[in-house]
Amino acid sequence: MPCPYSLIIKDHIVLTIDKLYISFSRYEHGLHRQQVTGLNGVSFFVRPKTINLVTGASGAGKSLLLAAILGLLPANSTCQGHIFFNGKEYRNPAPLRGKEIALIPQSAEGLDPLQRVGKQVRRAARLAGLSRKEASEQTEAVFARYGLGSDVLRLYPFQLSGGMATRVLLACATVGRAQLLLADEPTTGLDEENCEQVFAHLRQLADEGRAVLLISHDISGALPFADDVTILKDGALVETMSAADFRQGICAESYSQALYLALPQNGFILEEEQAHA
Amino acid sequence: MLEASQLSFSYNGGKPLFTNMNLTIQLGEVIGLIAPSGSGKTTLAKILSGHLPAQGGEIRLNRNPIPRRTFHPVQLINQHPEQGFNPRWPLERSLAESFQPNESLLAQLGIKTSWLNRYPHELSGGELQRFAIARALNPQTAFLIADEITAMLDAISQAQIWQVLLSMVEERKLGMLVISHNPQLLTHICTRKVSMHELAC
Repeated sequence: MPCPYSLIIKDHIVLTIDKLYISFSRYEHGLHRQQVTGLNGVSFFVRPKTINLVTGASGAGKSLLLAAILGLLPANSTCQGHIFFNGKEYRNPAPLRGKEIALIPQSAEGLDPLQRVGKQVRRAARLAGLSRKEASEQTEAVFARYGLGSDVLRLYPFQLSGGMATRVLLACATVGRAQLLLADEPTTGLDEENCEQVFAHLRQLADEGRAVLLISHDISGALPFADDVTILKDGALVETMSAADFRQGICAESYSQALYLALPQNGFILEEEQAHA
Repeated sequence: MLEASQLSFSYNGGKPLFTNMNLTIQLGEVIGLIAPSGSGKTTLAKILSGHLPAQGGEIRLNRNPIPRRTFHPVQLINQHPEQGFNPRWPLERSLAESFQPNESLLAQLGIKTSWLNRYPHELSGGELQRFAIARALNPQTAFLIADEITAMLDAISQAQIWQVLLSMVEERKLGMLVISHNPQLLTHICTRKVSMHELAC
């Protein structure tokens, strides 16, 4: 259960998000400016060695959250609130990006289509601060680790299957020493076997000491591997709970309960209010 | 009845993705198709819905060839809705290209009327997918091919969309082929399941 945030902003918590508000100004009908709220006071945290599964309806602001953590919000947005990394609040995420915090994007579109993947992973390693020699060694090591043969180093992204592309993206994110991994829907479009493999890889990374913020709609696939579950709805936090509780359908909020019941294996049930929401 | 017989396909004359593919879908039937990534499910979906020409074999609708230069009775709902809309058209116009859906259909699909004059990039993937489904539910549609249509949706929207689709299928006696990686979903919504492997023997 979430405890008061003043207590948990300690250095052993890798990432703490404290009352994050994001809004956009949008032009409508010419010069009429309108404020649209993206995130409305969201607070949660990611502990080391754990996977925090962040889920919720599309449009709940999951991708915005990632953009805010990485400092990649568009120019027309305003962001309030605090983000702490290892107990320190940061205003400028640029020095952390790619070094301490790494992103695993959604699909092969996160790769440069015109560059061989080996080169891209080496470049990610260099940008993460590894020496040239280390970068080459680590690149080969992560490729071996994710079951990508040395011939894959020379392929271009379009020659990869979806599962391989995801593993290359995993390689990019983990080739350095990043402590916090942000995974944005890493299994969209993958078959069951590949999904499970990706989640298992994330689990392994968490067990080795990294912290993982996993954004996914695939609740049934991700849940067995997660430690915490954070549920967002319409830009606001619904609740944070342990994955063990959610697996048994123990939720405090009716929305989380509805989400649980709507899973095909739990009956595919729609409550009336949800059906016409 | 939609009947595909002896279909084969290869990209750029390379190794055939499949040969001798046979599939029959009856009206009112919901068939789940399972197969690993890269086995040609999406390609099959495109061929059945006329987005790609079959290189061998043929597709017949009620024992007749599929009519050309008119509304295609087999409609594909794509995995990536953002690729299926003209980015420079408001969604209302994209919908009108197919037909004018009534308000109750839009409401059932969870489409808010305020979205109608938005452009595709102003909606999330899940919101856009609802438009793709609305557009495919043209009165002349006889068969629907759903290629991973709820993979990007949360569980509640997924249940919501399938509930509407299944009620439409029942109401209008449509036939449907559902492609999904989620076996639990297929078990729940399909009248029968087939694997790519079984079809191509």
